[in-house]
Amino acid sequence: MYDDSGQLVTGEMTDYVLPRAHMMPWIESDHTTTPTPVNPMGVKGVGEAGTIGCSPAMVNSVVDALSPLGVRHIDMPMTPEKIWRLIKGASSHQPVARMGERL
Amino acid sequence: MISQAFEYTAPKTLDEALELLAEGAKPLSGGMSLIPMMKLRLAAPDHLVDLGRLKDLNYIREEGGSLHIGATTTHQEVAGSALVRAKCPLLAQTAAGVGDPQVRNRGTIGGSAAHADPSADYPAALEALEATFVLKGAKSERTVAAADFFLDTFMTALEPGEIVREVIVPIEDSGTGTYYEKVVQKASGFAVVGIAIRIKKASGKISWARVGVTGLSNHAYRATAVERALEGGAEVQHAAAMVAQGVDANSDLHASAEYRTHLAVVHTARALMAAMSRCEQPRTS
Repeated sequence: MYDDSGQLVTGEMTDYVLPRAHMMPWIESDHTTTPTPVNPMGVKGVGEAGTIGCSPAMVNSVVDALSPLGVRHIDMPMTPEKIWRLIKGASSHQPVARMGERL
Repeated sequence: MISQAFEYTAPKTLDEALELLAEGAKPLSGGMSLIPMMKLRLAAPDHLVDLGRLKDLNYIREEGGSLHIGATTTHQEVAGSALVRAKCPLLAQTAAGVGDPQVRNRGTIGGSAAHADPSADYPAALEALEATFVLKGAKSERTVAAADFFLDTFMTALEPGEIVREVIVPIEDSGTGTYYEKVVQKASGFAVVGIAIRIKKASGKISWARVGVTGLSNHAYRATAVERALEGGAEVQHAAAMVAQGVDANSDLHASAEYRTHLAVVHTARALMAAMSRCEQPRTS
């Protein structure tokens, strides 16, 4: 802060007083409920919301790739061995769709 | 972590080292396995004898149709040697893929062989090469073939007090195609499975084959069933399927026994195809 003549009056912390704990006002916390219309559950991400979609997107892409073999679900982590077992297990069954055909 | 206290000696001569080893000291070469084991307190030797400073254990020589490699020759020295690359390309290729640059700069061929880690790269190549190990103790020197050297997990034909002094590998004929292929554990560089191949061809078919396998079971071995099938005219895929014959496959967090066996079969076939394509390439020396 400067006075009318342009002199800095907050040169040290004794002048530029920071808020202390006893100065804190009472804080009341509450919830507002505004579900998002863009997904069925109405939920929104907080924090690193942008990254949340990556894992299911990757899993869904692998499920999509394996869907001609009847694969509907994969639990993470998608290790090479897990994928190999899904393919191996599926090949002994009748495929529900031909390769390349969308389900 | 910090290891238990131990005594350390860096002898000037091999004889001095062997005398200390006869008294129960443990040999230290590159320390790429022993030192981590000591820090994890999986090993607690009282006395280490450092072989790393013995200059007469560090050499690569051509002698009577073979390459003689001193025990403390590092992976990087083998991988970078013009002699090894020209005369025994399988060993150079295998050495170039061990661990990471730090490990290759410190780790040694004798140390790797003596440690006999079931996932180490070198043993696959040394089995395929039918290498000979020169083992030396204070009062003895003997040679052991690779097939009789790797006995079990971390177990070799070495007797207490003996060290691997030298590894002898053949100089390849000009028509031999070789390849080392591994599925790598990403964090460590070790082989989940590793397949070392040497083949010769006659009129487009494999006429002679040597197949060394690491990572699959308790110790490296030669897949003689694959070799016999190939030499009997079997197709690559058919022969590769025999790679785990008579072997008890390992299970660990990297791969179950079943998946490991599958990987070994697939990568044996791939390594064979790669070795076949290398038969035709003119050799550079």
